[in-house]
Amino acid sequence: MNLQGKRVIALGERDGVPGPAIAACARSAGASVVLEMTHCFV
Amino acid sequence: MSKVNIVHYLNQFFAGLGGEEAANLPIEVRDGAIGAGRLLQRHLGERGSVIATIVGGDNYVSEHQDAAVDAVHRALAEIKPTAVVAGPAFDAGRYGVACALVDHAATHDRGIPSVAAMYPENPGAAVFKDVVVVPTGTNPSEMDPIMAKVARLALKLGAGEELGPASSEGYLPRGIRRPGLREKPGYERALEMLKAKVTGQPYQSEMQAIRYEAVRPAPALRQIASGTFALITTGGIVPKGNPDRLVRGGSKEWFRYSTAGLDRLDATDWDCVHRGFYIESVKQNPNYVLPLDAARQLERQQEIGGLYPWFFSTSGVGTAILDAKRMGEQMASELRAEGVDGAILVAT
Amino acid sequence: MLLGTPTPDSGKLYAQTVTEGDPTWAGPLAGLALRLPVYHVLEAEIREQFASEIAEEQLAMPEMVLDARELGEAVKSVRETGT
Repeated sequence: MNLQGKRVIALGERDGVPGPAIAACARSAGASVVLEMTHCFV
Repeated sequence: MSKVNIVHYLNQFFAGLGGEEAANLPIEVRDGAIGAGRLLQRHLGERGSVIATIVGGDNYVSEHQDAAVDAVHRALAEIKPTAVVAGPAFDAGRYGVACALVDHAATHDRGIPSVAAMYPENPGAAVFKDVVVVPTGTNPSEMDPIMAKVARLALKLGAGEELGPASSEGYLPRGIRRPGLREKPGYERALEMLKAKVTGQPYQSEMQAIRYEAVRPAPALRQIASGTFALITTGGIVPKGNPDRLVRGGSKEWFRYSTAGLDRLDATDWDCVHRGFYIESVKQNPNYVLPLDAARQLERQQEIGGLYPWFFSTSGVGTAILDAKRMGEQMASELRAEGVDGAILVAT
Repeated sequence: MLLGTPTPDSGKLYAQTVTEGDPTWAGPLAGLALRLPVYHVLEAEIREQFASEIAEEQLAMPEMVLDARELGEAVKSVRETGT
């Protein structure tokens, strides 16, 4: 899966990798982030 | 056969109303099936109908049990279902307890048959002995196969049928024994079981026995006269002053103390902290519990090759089995790495 | 979808939800197969595409405590076999 040019939804978790971190990484690979969330898994 | 009308109890999350932030929702009633109840309805098919869903916020039910149960009673009195389903709660503790409360209110108080589902170690499984509980794992991903089982039992109960034994119907045993006739007399069943057992065939015991773990002893030592041995005690022997703060029981830690150059343990330098026996005589002569003097004698007489220059000590009274296992493994690991041939664990 | 889930179980749950549908049937994606391509952000084939400075800055902490291999395998398993 080549991230360049792809539209990404970043589903992060507080205890894992948070949304903003995923989004920053995805952008650095040339993707655009359409939705960014950080959840707390029940 | 008429359709079984079911009321389904769900918590806020599985009703699709939110997570922890919605946990304070008071009891509310919704029409039909919602959230995970939709899967229940799928499995009920034409034979059953989720006519209403009762939703309870986990915190609300936990903190306002009486009010919550009252609200459930009012809902059940009004809706008059044929059966009630609560959960599956998996290992969510507050939810599991709520399910037990709902089912108990329905069946015990109102005579409406009910079934719940949760992880066997969910506290909700222990609240009431007579609630029918389908066992689950801890992962809600298994919702589908679990709902299939729950639906089957709900339909059966709703049709007024009696449930068979827990093991065949797939619910947690409730300790209910019913007298009945078996096909063969007891002596025939016993002989068949015995025959199966001695010929290595599978058999099913009619009584559940508590199983204790069988610990296989280590292989016999061959070279004792040339071997190096370590002394281990669970008798709580420590240097005077107990510098490592070894506890008097329920230990989770063990310590090593040097015996290099020592022929015996002297009362002036050593102490005993164990709380499980009378330690005054041991304080006067610690060798009673950690027999360094006797071990040195064996060494001098060349009955053993040598002693590892450290002894291991812990207080083994009320110690949790898991902690004991771990400590044993740690001790063995060190001894193995140091090439020690055997350990002598002196009983108290 | 890029996931940042901390455990294999939760990774599978999210992955199943956006591919075959919410397996817990709790939410709106129950019975709805979106079939979205889903990866864990720490899966090797994804992680290696990130600019190294940014990845280092953003992922160093999580990578210390999470088992990237295990997490990647869990999500990959759902992607390739559905479970």
